Amino acid sequence: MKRSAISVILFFLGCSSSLPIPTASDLLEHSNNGDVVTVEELKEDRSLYIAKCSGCHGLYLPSQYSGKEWQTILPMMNEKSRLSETEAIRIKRYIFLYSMH
Amino acid sequence: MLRHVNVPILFFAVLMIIPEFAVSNERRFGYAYESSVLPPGAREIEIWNTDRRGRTYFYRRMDQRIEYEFGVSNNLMSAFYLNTTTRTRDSNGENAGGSKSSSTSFAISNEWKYKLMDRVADPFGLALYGEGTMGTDKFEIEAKIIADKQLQNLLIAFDLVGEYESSSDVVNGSEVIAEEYKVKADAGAAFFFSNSFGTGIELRTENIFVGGSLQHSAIFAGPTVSYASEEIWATLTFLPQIYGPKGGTTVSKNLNFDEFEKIQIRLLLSFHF
Repeated sequence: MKRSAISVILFFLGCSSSLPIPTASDLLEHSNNGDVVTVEELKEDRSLYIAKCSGCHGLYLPSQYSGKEWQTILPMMNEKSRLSETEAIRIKRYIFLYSMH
Repeated sequence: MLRHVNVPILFFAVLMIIPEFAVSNERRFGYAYESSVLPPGAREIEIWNTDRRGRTYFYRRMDQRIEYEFGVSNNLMSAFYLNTTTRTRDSNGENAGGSKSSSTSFAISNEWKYKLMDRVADPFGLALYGEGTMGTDKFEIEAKIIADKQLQNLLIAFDLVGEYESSSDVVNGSEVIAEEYKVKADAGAAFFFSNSFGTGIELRTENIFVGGSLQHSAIFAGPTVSYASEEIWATLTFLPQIYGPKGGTTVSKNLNFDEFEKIQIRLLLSFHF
């Protein structure tokens, strides 16, 4: 029993965030779309997603839905959360980078 | 204590003063808790039904709870419960041979949950939980540490529970008060086939301490299925006892049917508004 409990604790301590943290390789993929951004900007997009969306519901992983599904979901959420146009664009940029293709 | 309070009126009075908003806080396990909390202003009604049956003697028990949950602030939520428990059993208990006897008890509970870490944004989810219960035949305080983690379509949850319970009963016309300390742990893993449907397994261990020593212990494990939509969610868990390392009888050497049931089945239904 003690071993099982220790295994569980070690499992949780060894975890990293499930929500992707942008890296240079993500930047390369994003620049293929013709948009020029920095890793820092993408990290800020991620922070914006956490700050604006987790206030109203549990966070979803971008990969839980396809890009097409996010196209339907995001406008509804923007309306509910009253995001500014810039905030909506930045959150969409982060979500689409990691959405299910 | 509750005899002097009109509980339904108190309950609905609390409902009326809570601000309105609609976001769900679905549970994917019947027993293991998750770290997520309702956002400020969101509210939800949960209906619990737990069927517990089978001991060394005739025993049936139905626990029912109606819970009103609401988000208080970012990362903090609270809830009020109305609880009823109906037991039907052999009046002689372990010394079977008595007649069938039934009893019903009522209680109210209040819980608070504070989320320290988010299971998606942070390395793992972490929350602290406290609950107090006061009823016609018991007083109970419970504290939990909840940890969970979402990995794509897999959700893993673990909680550690410490509980103090003081219950009263009548034996030969006199009130007898019993005190127990319980240590429980729940673990669950659920896989989502879609964003609505999930299935998995749950594991629970219950340990009862009386007078500082471990008196009873049992481990339960079984399947769980869940469904969640924008309006409702539901979770059904079957939890048979698989091992009773402490307090078992000669009837079932490795199972403890004196203190715990052969099987527990829990159905949670929730509506948010």
